[in-house]
Amino acid sequence: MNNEEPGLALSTLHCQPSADSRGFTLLETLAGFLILTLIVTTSLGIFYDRQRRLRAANEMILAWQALANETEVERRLSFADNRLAPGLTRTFISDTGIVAPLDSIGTTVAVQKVNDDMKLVRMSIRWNKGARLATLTIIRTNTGGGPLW
Amino acid sequence: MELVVTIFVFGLLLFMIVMLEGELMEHARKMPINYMTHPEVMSVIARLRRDVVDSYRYPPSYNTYKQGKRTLIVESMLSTGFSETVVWDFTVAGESRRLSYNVGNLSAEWVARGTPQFEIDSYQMPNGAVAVRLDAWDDKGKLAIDQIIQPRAH
Repeated sequence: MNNEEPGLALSTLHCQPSADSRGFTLLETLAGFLILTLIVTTSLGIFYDRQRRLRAANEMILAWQALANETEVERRLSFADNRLAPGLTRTFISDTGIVAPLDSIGTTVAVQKVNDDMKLVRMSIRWNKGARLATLTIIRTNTGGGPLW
Repeated sequence: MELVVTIFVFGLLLFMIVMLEGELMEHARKMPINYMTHPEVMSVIARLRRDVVDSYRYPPSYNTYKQGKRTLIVESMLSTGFSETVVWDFTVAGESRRLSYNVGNLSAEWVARGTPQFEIDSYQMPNGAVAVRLDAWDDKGKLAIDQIIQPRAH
C-alpha cells in the first residue's frame, strides 16, 4: 500500500524550480536599480531645474522693482547734489524693503564722471552672498537746473 | 543582501526628494506671490505705471471717488487732444479696477481679479516732486509689490 498522499506528491512536484522560473541574481537587480535610479534622478533634475529657474525669475522681479524705484529717485537728484559726487560709492536712497526675502542683500550706487556735464550712475543689487547680481546704469547730464526731467 | 541594497537605493532617492522639497518649501515661505503664475499682477502694474507717467495732475476727487489708500485718480491727455480721467479702484479685496472717463462719460473699464491687495501712497522725490507709491501685500501680509512712479515731464 502506498503511504504517500496523491496531493502531497503533486504539491512537491509543483515546488521544484524550473529553468525559466528562477529568481533574479544580484547583478540583474542592481542593473535594474541603476536604470530606475537614472530615470528618477533625471526626472528630479528636470523638476529641480524648473523650480530653480522660477525662483531666479521671481528673485529678479523683486530686484528690478528695487532698481526701478532707485532709478526714479536718482533721476531727480540735482546734478550738483553731494550724493552724485564723482567717485562716490554708497547704498540706495530708496526703501529696499521689497528685496527683504532675498538672502544676504547688498545695494551699491557708484557715480562715475564722464565729463563736466555727464555722469554715469550705476546701481547694483547683490544677493545670495554675491552670487546673484542685477545692475542698472543711468546717465545724468547737467541741464543747468532746467526741468527737463 | 538584496534587501539591504534595495532599501539603500530607495532611501537615497527618498532623501533626495525630501531635501529638494524642503529647500523649495523654505524658499516658497520666504517669497511673496509667485509672479510667474499670475500675469494679471504685472498687467495692473504696467497699466498703472503708464497712467501715472502720462498724467499731468492728481485731482482730489472725481464723481464719487476720492484720492486715498485704495483709490488713485489721475488726469492725462489723449492723442485726440481731450483729457482723460483715470480712476484706479482697489476697494474690493482681490480686485483691481481701472475706470477711464472721457468728457464725463465712462469710456473704458478693465478689471483684474485674484490680485493682491494694492495700496496707494505718495512719495516725496528729492527735487520736491510728488510720485505715486504703489504697494501690494500677499494674503500672508508679505510685501509683494513696491513701485515708485513719477509722472514724466510733458
